[in-house]
Amino acid sequence: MGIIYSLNNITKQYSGTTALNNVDFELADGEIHSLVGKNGAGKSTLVGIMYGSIAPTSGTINLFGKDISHLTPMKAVSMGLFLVPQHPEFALDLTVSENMFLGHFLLKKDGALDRKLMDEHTNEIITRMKLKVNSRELMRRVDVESQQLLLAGKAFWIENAKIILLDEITATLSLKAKNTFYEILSEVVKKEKKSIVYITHRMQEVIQLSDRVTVLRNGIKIGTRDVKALSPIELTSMITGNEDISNKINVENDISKDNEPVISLRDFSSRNTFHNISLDVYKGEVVGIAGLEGSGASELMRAVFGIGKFYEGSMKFNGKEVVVHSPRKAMNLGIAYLTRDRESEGIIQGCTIEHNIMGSQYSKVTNKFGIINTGKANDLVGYMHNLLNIKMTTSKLPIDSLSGGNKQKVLFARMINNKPKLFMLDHATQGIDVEAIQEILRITREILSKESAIIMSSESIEDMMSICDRIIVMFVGEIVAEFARDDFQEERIFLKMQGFKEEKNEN
Amino acid sequence: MKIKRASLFLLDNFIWVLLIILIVSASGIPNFFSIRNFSNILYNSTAAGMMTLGMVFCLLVGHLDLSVEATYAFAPSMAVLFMVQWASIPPIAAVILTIIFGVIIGAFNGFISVKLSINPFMLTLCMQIILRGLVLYFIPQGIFGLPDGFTFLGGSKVFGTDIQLAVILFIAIFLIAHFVMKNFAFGKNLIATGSNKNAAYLTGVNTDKVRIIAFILSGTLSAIGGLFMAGRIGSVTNTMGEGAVMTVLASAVLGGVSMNGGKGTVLGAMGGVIFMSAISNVLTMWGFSPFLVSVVQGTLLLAAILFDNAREKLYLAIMRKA
Repeated sequence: MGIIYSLNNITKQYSGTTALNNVDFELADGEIHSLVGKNGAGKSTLVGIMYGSIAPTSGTINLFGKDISHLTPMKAVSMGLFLVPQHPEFALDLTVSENMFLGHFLLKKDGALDRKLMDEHTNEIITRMKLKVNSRELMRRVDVESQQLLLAGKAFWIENAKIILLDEITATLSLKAKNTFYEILSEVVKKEKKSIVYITHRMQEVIQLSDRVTVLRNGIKIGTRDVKALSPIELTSMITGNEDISNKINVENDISKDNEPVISLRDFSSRNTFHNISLDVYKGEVVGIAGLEGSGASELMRAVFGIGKFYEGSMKFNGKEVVVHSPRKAMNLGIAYLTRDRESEGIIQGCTIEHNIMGSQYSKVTNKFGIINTGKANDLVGYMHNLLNIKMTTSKLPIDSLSGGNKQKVLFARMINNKPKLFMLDHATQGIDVEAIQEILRITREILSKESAIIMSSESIEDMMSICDRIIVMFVGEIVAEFARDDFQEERIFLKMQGFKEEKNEN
Repeated sequence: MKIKRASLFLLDNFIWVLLIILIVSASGIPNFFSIRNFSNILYNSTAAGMMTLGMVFCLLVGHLDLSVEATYAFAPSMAVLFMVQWASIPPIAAVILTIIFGVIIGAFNGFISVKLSINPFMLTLCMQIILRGLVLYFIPQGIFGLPDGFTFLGGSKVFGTDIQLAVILFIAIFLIAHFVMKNFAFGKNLIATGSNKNAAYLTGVNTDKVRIIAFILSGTLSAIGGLFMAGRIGSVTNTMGEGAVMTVLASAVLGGVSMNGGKGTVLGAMGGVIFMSAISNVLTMWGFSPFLVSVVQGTLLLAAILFDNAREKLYLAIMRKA
């Protein structure tokens, strides 16, 4: 098997942080090559570079034996490479067959669209993918699962790409659709000699589908292996690493379990996202929720904060039964929430740092006429500035002048401002540099948890292990395991997150 | 540091800089530099200025209110009908009634668009058509010779000077609005909602309430603008304010208020309003045809929009230099 696509010594730096460090990648003719790694390992950056949508800082690219200096998506597609992204993008108001042939319309002699022929081809694809879709239907009326498969079909048979990048394609698929897709994929690779780069989170897929696997961690390539000679445990340790997570964060806390828990959930359910969650968290306690995309962890926190109204079950706050139907209600009770989507839901773009720290709390620093006391506001901002060590020249600058880690601290300041009894931190360490991660963890443990209860999630199990008293694992909306601090083992937690039932622990 | 401050100040108040340039370049015109002429320029801004201020609240919160020009005609017209035809209420009551109509229309726009999630652009367009239709139906000929008790807001002068009461009110209302936006929690919440509604909601801002209030302010201020106009011409007509919404938007954008919400200041918008009136004053004095005046106004607006993009980049560039 010859190498048809190789990337050598690829490095990508974003203002200050290194997303990829000297990574090599080779794709052989007719193989399925999995690309795995935890969130933030650099998978999406590497895929972007392969597809030409991200320019590497340094490194060389060789596609079909040709050295390519400036790869663009357009060039990539014209050379026979196609990306099927995690969330397919279609022109929703065109029909299915129009979408399938968008960019490659089949025309009749007079120049009009040859609908009949396009429908025929589309129906062929629909049959091969075992879908129940009408080719004349508007794409808007087609469910996401079918859209995802249609796009894969387009890549296979209409674009006729030689190399296809599949980015977490099964994330939105049901079990049945997944199995159909696996069959088609192996068939396509075997019979039509296509090469696949398969980006995934799921180890089962790696083992079941692929010939080789490349593992990334923290922007570094850990290795490329033949899958046949690889056990799940080995793969897991390649992905998670066995680093010693010694750190100097003080985790001593008085957890007063004699008192009422700060928050107590019983049979807490939301129709599609999580089921029968029962959970008590006490003052001084830090509880981590581990789970993949779709585990329901984020949705659970959002429901407790009153976003999205439809949940069942009971929620007690400081011993009192409460119903929370808006963030304002939650905040008045003493609940704080850090969104995982910092840029679009967290910071208020275009406003100053001060405004972002104050949030909706300006009304608390006004005099009796409702006029804002600037002195008081300044004091508060200054206090937060010192407490959280926010790096800024002045709080009157726009929030966008700060780095990710400092923006995150601003959001922490905003929460602390309201003196909550419960903090819910969704992916608190996402998208910030290593130093800032340590600071955020320290703040969480040493400042926030002194007076409050904390529920947190993180894409990094290590982060949670370093400061949590307990880690709860959620899988498809249910709590499937709980680990006390003494039992923390990254591999075991990782396997539980993947939904492995029995532990395949050889020891 | 001083240079940086000064350049930031100039960027933020660019419209006022333009206004000064305009005034200086017009200084050759005889009689231009007179209290009477300046007062006239301001007087011409008052009615549209109120509509603009209302629109600014809506723009800042991230919406559009196309019904301002119809409210401007509808509110005073109906109040006048109550005064002279339907109920003979006293003039001062008619003044208050006008304002109440404005509040009601704004509240209706706000509640329907926010609570029923209807696109405010479409809703207020419907309101514009409906209200204009009602005005045309009820006062096909216009109503003339209104009593002083109704027209004093727009028509009277202060203490026998040459300065109209409306000018004083115009300046006062803008300054109050500026103060509220800068120094009240409401102003901060309004800007936050316009900048990022989702984030504002998650920090506990009652974004629905803020948006409804913006519409109420818009309706109310438009009604006050209508009062100024009715007072000035001593009548209500069914063509009052027709097509004004475009000038209103132009003034706001010229003053640095963004169509995307969250960005802009009340004082900037005030500069925009005065500039629109000043440029037409200057060009008329120079002997331009009124048709060419709108060509110039339109061109300036286009330039302002182009400048707006550049301004954001300049702003960040200057900030970074710190």
